[in-house]
Amino acid sequence: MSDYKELLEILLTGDGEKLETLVKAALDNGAPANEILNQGLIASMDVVGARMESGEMFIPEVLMSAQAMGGAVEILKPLLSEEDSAVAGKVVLGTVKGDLHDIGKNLVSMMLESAGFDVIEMGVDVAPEKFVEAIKENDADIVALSALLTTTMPMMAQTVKTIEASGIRDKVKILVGGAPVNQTFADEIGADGYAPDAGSASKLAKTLLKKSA
Amino acid sequence: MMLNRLQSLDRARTERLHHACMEVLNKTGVIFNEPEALEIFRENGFRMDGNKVFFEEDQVMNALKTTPSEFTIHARNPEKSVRIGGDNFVLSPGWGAPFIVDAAGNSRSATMADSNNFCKLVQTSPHLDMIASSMVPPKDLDPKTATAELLASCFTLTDMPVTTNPCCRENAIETVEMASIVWGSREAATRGPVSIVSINPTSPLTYTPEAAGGLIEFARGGQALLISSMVMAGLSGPITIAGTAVLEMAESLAGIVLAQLVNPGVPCVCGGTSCAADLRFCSATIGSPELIQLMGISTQMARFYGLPCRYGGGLTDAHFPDMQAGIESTLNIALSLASGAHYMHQACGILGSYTEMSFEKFVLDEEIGGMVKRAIRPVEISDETLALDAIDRVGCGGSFLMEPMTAKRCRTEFFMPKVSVRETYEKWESRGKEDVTKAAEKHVKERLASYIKPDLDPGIEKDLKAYIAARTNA
Repeated sequence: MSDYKELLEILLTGDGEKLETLVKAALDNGAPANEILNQGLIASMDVVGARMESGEMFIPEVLMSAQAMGGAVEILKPLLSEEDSAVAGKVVLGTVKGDLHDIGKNLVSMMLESAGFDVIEMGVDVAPEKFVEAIKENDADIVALSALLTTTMPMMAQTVKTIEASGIRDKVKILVGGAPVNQTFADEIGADGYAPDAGSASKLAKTLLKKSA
Repeated sequence: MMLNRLQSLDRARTERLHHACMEVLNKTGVIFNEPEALEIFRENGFRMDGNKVFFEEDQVMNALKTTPSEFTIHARNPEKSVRIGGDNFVLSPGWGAPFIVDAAGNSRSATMADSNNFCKLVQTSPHLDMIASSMVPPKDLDPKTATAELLASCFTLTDMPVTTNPCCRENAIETVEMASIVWGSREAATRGPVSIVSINPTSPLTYTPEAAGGLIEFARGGQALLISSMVMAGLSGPITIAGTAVLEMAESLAGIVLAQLVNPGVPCVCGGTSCAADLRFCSATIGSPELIQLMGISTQMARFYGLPCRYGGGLTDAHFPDMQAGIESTLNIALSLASGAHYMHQACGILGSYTEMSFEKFVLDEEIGGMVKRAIRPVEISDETLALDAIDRVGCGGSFLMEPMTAKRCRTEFFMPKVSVRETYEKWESRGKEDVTKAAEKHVKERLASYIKPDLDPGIEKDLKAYIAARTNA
């Protein structure tokens, strides 16, 4: 196994060009692509996530790191076997109907992707039925609902009810988040989890899938 | 010399900000996701590209010509009607927080009982000027009737002028219909505004169907419009304060133009509650000094445009009525009122960047509001208040304690706090070293016990109930 300390250092600075050079050099030195991805990039992104959660890294810096990571993953993709690129899980993600806010949701999307999840991005103002369709179509493991407005919080409850009514509730974990949402609210509406920020959202997604596996 | 260091814009910098607003409106444009809004702009000859509208400077200036610089919102009790703009300002309570943080610091969802208790606190308030519908949107209401029930409590539990429910077309229609019941006719309820609504563009530069549709309907119904953004610098606005201030003002002006096209002369308030984003968490920072900077610019630009301005409030990012909450709320309330804000939405009770309300903080903020109102009230200067006779009579040395005027005015001359401590250490210690939150908790109980329901024609109350029942069955 190679030493990925330098890769971590570069990823933390968010310098995409340097990161790509480093990944190419590692490949030239014979490191397997799946090792660079898992032990190098994803492990380093976990450090970014932890630093984001603790407030050591600012979100715009995290975004630079994630962007750099995205570029590096593109280099590795053609070299990964199907098994290597097997995803951590499939997540259907969107802002509930009546709500157009997406900054927080997009951050969650980015952190989930960086943690190896396949994110099916539904955008904003998503009707409950659309969530159900997407869960079924993609055989999703998790559906993650976002709301910023206090007036659209009831729509989260409505979405959970629609998922229940469609008979797929036991097949999918429901995560909720957004500024006015909290654990009590998540429990009240029957969600499986609540995350206060994007870093903990990806951690929670991993934990939930481990539990159900 | 600058008398108020928050009012730092000179003429040249004010005009530069104005030109920047005009450039944003003219070059970047504003999206209105609402067919009727687009139709109105099209009919009035605005340059458009799909759902994006571009504004010429004279189109904005023409709208400002018909926008009153001050206006009255009528209360059910005419003695409580308020004037907004010019030298007049009002305090309206906290609004839109779904959670209650109790005196022990625990959070729970708000209920209708909480909402009604807040109405009672407002009705018994010595310092608040308005009631607000949806102070704490309760979880235990049927969504079909929730806004109607909340508005009905404002009309029945208080006799004050109303900050109404969140803005959308249905709420506008409902507000006017319910006000028509209370005032006896639609004509009476729409002659001059009996409510003000908060309309919030989604920054940057977008009006949702709810915001634009509600704006049109409220304007049509002659109700006052607060058109205010919460731009977060670094997130929904540029990371610079100047750029964020321009975005906020441009969004506000775009909405005011639409309102004046619908109903020329309808009262509009500009401003916002913009702030820095904390870029460690991408969260709002309503207790930040950047909000104060943005307030300083907004209040001055409002004067430049001749518009009433909304800013400030009992705003904090803290989750408990502690010293952080006190510091941030006091800075916000005091500096905004001192800088000339006219409509203080969210004056009392807010915690956690608008997500929580606290009964204890509500009465503490109210006390801050009362103190600031007193502090900025122009001091009366007359023969009587100069008290030269008394000064001469007591002379050098001596005391004014025995002066008849002192006895006559001792209960009324000074601000008398309801919650703050002024006693000796020994007395305070003997009362168990009670902290201010505990004192506030007691005061809330006393206030709720002292509440008396204002008179209202039973027929009106019955009609309001019937209106809600019709919604339930709709």
